[in-house]
Amino acid sequence: MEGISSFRKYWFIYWLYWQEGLQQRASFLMERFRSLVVLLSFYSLWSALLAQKGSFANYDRPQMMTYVLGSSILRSLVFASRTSEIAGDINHGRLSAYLLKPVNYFTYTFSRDLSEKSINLFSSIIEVAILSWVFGIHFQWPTHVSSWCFFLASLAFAVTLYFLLCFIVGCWGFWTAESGGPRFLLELFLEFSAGAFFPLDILPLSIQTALKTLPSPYLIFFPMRIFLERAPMTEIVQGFRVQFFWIIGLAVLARWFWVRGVDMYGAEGS
Amino acid sequence: MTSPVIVVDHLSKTFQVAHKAPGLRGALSGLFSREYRAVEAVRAISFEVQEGELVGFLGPNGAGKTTTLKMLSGLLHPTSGQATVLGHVPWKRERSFQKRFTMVMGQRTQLWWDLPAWDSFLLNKEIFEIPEASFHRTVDELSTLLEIQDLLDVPVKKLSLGQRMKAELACSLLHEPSVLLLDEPTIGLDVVMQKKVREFILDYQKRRKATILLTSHNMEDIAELCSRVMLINHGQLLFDGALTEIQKQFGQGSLSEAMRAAFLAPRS
Amino acid sequence: MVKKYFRIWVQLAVMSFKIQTGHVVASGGYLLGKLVRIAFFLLFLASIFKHTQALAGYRMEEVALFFLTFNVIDIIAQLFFRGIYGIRALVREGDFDYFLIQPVQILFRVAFNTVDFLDVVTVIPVLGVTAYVMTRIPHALSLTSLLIYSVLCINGMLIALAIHIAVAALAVWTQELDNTIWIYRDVMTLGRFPVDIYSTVVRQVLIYVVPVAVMVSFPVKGFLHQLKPSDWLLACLMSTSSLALALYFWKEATRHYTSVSS
Repeated sequence: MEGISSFRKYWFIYWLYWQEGLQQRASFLMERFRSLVVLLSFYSLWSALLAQKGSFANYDRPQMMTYVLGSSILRSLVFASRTSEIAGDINHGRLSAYLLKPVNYFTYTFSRDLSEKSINLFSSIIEVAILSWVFGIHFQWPTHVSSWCFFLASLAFAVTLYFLLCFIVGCWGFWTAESGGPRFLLELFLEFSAGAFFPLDILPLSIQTALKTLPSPYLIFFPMRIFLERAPMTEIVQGFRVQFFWIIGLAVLARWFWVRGVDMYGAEGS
Repeated sequence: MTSPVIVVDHLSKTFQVAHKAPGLRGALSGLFSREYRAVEAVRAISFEVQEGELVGFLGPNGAGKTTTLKMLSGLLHPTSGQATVLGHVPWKRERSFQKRFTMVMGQRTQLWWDLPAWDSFLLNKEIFEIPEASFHRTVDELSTLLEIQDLLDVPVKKLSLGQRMKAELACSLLHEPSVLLLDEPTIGLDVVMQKKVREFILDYQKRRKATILLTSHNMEDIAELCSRVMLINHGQLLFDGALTEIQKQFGQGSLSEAMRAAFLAPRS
Repeated sequence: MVKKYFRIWVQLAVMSFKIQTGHVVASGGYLLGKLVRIAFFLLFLASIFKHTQALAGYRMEEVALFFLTFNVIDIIAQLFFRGIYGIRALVREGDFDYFLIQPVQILFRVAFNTVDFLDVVTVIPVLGVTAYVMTRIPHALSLTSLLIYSVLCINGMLIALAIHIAVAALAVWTQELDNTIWIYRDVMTLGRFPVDIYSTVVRQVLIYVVPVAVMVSFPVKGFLHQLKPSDWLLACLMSTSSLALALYFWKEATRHYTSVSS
C-alpha cells in the first residue's frame, strides 16, 4: 500500500511538471527550435565532409548520419534536466518546503527530471523524424535484438549517471551561492567529451584514451556505438563495468554530500 | 487659485488576461491557441489633487489602486481617459517630467541587491543629473531623517526589510521630486517601522510641500497621514473626501464598519 | 547629454565589476568555460582536418578563421549588449518598471545594466589567436584585407545590435518568451562554419532572414578577397535596415508594455 501511494505521489509530481512544461508553450517551442538548428548545423557539416569521399574516418554516410541524429535524440534524453534548480532550491530557501513534506527530495528531483526528459525526448524524436524525411537520410538501425537490449540498458545507466553528476553539483549549493559557474563548466565539458555532437573516435588516440578515464564518453558515445553495432562484445562488457563503477561511486558521493549538506542547511529567508 | 498638480479625467484601464483550461486537453490546446478575457482594472476614474496635498487611496487587493498609480507615473497607457501630472501627460515619459516625480513600490526595490545602497545612490545621481553639492546635502538630510547613516555601505541583501525600505525611500528622493507616488510603502513592515515610515512621509511633505499620493490597504497609514481619502474598489472610485465623511456616507458604527460597507456595496 | 550617458555607463560598469569580483568562483567558472569551449572546438576542427584536406573548399586555417570571427563578433556583441540577456528577469521581477519611469533612454539602460568584464578578458586571447591564424594565411594577409575585415566586423556588430534590440522588444512585449535570445544565439552558431556548407535554402535564410552570413562569413570572405561589390551593398543594406526595424519594434514594445501586477 505504501509503495503504491508513494508511486502516485511521484507520478503526480511528474504530471505537474509535464503540465508546467507545456504551459510555457512559447519557451517550449523555442527550445525545440533551438535543438533543430543545432541538428541542422551538424548535419550540414557532416554532409559537406562526407561529400568528398563518401566516408569519413571509417564512418560511411548512413552511419555518420545515424550518429548525428541519434546523438541528438540521446542528448535530449540524457542531458535534459532540471537539476540546475537544485542549487536554486537550496540558496533561496525553497528546500525547506521539501524537507518538511513527506517527500524524498532525491526521488522528487529525479521525477522532475524524468518529466523534463520525456517532453524533450518525445519532441526530439519528432524533429529527427521530420529532418530525416526532409533530407532523405537513411537511418541505420541495429540488426540484432541483443543490440537493442544493450543499447537501452546503457541508456538507462547513462541517464542515471548524468543525473548523479548534476545532483552532486547541485549539492554544492549548500556551501556556495556560486555553483552556477562551475556547473556551466561541467556541462560544457560533458557535452564535448560525451560525444554529444560528434563521434569521439575522430579525435586523436591520446585524447580518446584520456577521455575514457572519465564518465562522459559513457553518456552518449558508448550507447551510440552499441546502437551502430560498432562495439564488439568485449567493449560492451567493459563499458557496462565502467558505467556501473561510476554510478556506484557517484551515488556514494552524492549521498555523502547530501547528508552533510542538509545538516549544514540553514534556511535562508527570502 | 493655482492649477491642480494632478488632474485625472475618466481614466480607464482594461487588461487582457490569458485563460488556461485545466487538464491535459487544456494544456495541449493551450499550445496552439489562447483564450483571453478582459479585466477592467480601472473604470473611468476622475479626481484632482492640489499642490501639497497628501491623498490616500484605500481599497482591497485588486481594487485598481496600483494600476491608477502606474498610469500616473507613465508606466502604463490608459485604455481611455486623460490625466496630467505637473502639466505633463505621464505616459509620454518626458524627461522633464521624470525628473520631477518619484514612485516607490512597496516590497520592490531599485537598489542593487549585492551592493551597498550608496552605489545605487550614485547611479541615481548620474541618472537624475543631481549636482555634486546638492547630492551630498540631500543624502545627509535623508539619511539622518531615516536613521540610516551607518547602513549606506552595507550590501542591501544584508539589510532587514525595514532598513531596505528606508534606503529605498532615500534613493527615491535624492532628486528632490515634487510629486511622490507611494504604492504600499509600509507593506511587510513591522508596526514600529510602519510608524517610522509614516513619520518620515509626513515630515517630508511638510518640509518640501510635496504632493503625495499614497496607496495602502492598511487603515493606519491612511488614518495617520491623509486628510483626504479615495476609496476604490473594482476599479471604481467609491468615495473622495475627508476620512471623517466616510462614516456619514456609509452608515453608522465604527470607521472600519463603514469602510466594509463601502467596499461591499453593489457596483453600479 | 553624451557626458551624462558616459557617466551613467561608468557607474553601471563599476557596479557590475564590483558584483563580479564578489562572485569569483562563479565568474571564474564562466570565464574558464568560455575559453574551454573555444579550445575544444579548435581541437575538434584540427581533428577533422586529420581526416580531410578541405571543408567546402576551405583549408583548415581558413575554417578556423570563420570560427574565430564568429567568436570575436559574438563576444564583443555580448560585451556591449550583455544587459539584454537579463531583460526577461528584469521584466518579471518588476525592475524594468524603474527603467521606464527614470529619465534615461530605456534601451541604453537595459543594454548596459550589466557589463560583463569576463568578456573583456575572453576577447583578448581570442583576438590573439585570430591574428595568429591570419598570419597562417599569408597569401591573403595585407593591410587592405585587414581593413576590409575590420569594417565588415563592425558592420556585423551593428546587425548584432539590431538583433539584440529586437529580442529585447519581444521580451518586453510578451513576458513569457524565455528563450528568444537563445534562438538568436543558436542560429548564430550556424556561423561557426563557413556558410557554404549549408544548402541553398539555408544559406538564403542566413543572408536575408537572420543575416548570420553577413555578420560572420562576410568579414572572412572579405579578408580572403572573395567578396563582390554587390556583397558590400548587401552588407550595408542589412545593417541599416535591421537597425531601423529593430528600433521601431522597440518603440512599439515599450508602448505596449504591461507591467507585471503586484
